[in-house]
Amino acid sequence: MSVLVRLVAGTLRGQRQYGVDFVGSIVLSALVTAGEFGVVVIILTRFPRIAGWSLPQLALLFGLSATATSVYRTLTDELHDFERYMVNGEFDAILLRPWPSLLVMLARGVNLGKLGGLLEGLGITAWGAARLGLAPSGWGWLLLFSVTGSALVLAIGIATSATAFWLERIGELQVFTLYAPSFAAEFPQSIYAGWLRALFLSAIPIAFVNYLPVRAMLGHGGGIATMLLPVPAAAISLTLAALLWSAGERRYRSTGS
Amino acid sequence: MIEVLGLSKRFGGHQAVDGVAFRVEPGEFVALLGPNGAGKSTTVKMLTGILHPDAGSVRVAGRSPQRERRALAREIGVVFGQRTGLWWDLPVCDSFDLLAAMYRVRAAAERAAELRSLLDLDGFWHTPVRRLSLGQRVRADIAAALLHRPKVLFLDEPTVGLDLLAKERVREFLSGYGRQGATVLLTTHDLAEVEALCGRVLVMNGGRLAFDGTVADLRQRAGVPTLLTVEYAGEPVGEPAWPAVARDGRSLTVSFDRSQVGAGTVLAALGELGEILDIRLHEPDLEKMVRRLYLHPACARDDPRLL
Repeated sequence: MSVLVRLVAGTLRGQRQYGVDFVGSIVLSALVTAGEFGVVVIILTRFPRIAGWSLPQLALLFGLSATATSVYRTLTDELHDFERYMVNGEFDAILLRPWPSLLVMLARGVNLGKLGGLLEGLGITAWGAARLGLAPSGWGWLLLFSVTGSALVLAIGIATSATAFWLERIGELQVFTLYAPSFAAEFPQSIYAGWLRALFLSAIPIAFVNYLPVRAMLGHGGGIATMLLPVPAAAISLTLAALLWSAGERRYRSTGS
Repeated sequence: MIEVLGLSKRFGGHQAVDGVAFRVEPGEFVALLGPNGAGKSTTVKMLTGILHPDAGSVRVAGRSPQRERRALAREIGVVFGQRTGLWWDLPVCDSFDLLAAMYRVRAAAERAAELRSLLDLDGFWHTPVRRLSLGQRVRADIAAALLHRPKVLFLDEPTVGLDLLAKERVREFLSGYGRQGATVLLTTHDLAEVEALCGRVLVMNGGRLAFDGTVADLRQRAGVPTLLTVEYAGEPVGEPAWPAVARDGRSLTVSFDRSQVGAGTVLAALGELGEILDIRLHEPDLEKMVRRLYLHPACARDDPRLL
């Protein structure tokens, strides 16, 4: 663990060499998240509710989704850009280290510049919880959903990056598996078609990030068992993503010298 | 130290490595030569655990690079001349600290100080890697690859792009490192480097091993003619038994194959054409010999010493 901490510290020291970029990216990531939430607020000025969800309730969905996505982007700056490692053969150097390659990739990719979005996601979640007057246990559940949601998005991100071992180029796929589902998770899943809801419960399990547990917590359907579902969903998703990564690593083709 | 048997790797329709087999004993400094696309880098990447072979077996320092990649990483050092293994945005010293932690290097400070001195890194020890010249960067990369005291060192074109002076500094260091009994596999296109450093040469062509032997073997067996120039006291009388490539008054140059006849025999026969005052022997250069192996791999396979 201490090695991992040193590796992360090294990565952050490297980023500090570009001081202006660092501050700029924190501000930028906060602005992006604020802009996205602004869209939800604007929609709600025309329609007081979306599928029966009020603005503070939607804030929980939005905040949890933004938190999970921001944790993913904070931890995976390099992993998210993994096709570069495939196309340029940069993954060679990762495989020469006496560490699991996925761990090295994560340690190299910590980017505190994405913290702006994370803080804002947590803030919007807290605002929604305060407006709804949630009991302390409700806040505790939201904390759990933040952790499991982040793990789920991380698993989806790892699995998507792992496909680069086969596909090399994954930019388009990331739109389909990460960007679009993260946006879709900001709204109640009941507004989507059946096949899309099925997709968000299986291959891209974004429904477990916020919609299913929050719906159960607000008494819109499901009970404690549903609220606990994200825990096994996150564990299974991370395991499958790690297995896919491991299979991909064996297929790595490198590049010519 | 390195055992390779029936190693093969295919990329789509292209057979990059085809049934390669060789052994490298502890303490050997071996060159891996071949034209672009011969399969050298693919072979090295399979030996270091980067790529998985389609067939064959590999053991390096007693370990399988594929099944024990992480354990093997602690036993080997790898330098890719065209890429750095250091942290691009960090000073050299920080990269060494991180590597020491990663590899759990014993007495890391002493080891780093030793390498700093050997490879003359002091002048840029605190400089970010991205600001180093190529020569400085390669020296830092070699030092980094040796920090954890590897049993085997893989060097993939370590001096490519360096100027003569920088090349010479790297070569001097490697020469000293080799004399300490290190096991090194050097991939290069620089034949002067091979002659200066390597006791043994492996030549790959078309994914196969075309030659395995010493530089002297290569010289003797590649079939590139040796030239012998003889200066006579007077004009030589008669025709030599070997082709005369130049004849100018009292000077005669003949061409012969060292694998067929020794230089002493040729000299004795030429002595019968007149009184000899002086001789000059022109050994074929390594580049010509290797080029011949690249172009005519069959000539190598016909010879039992050439695989």
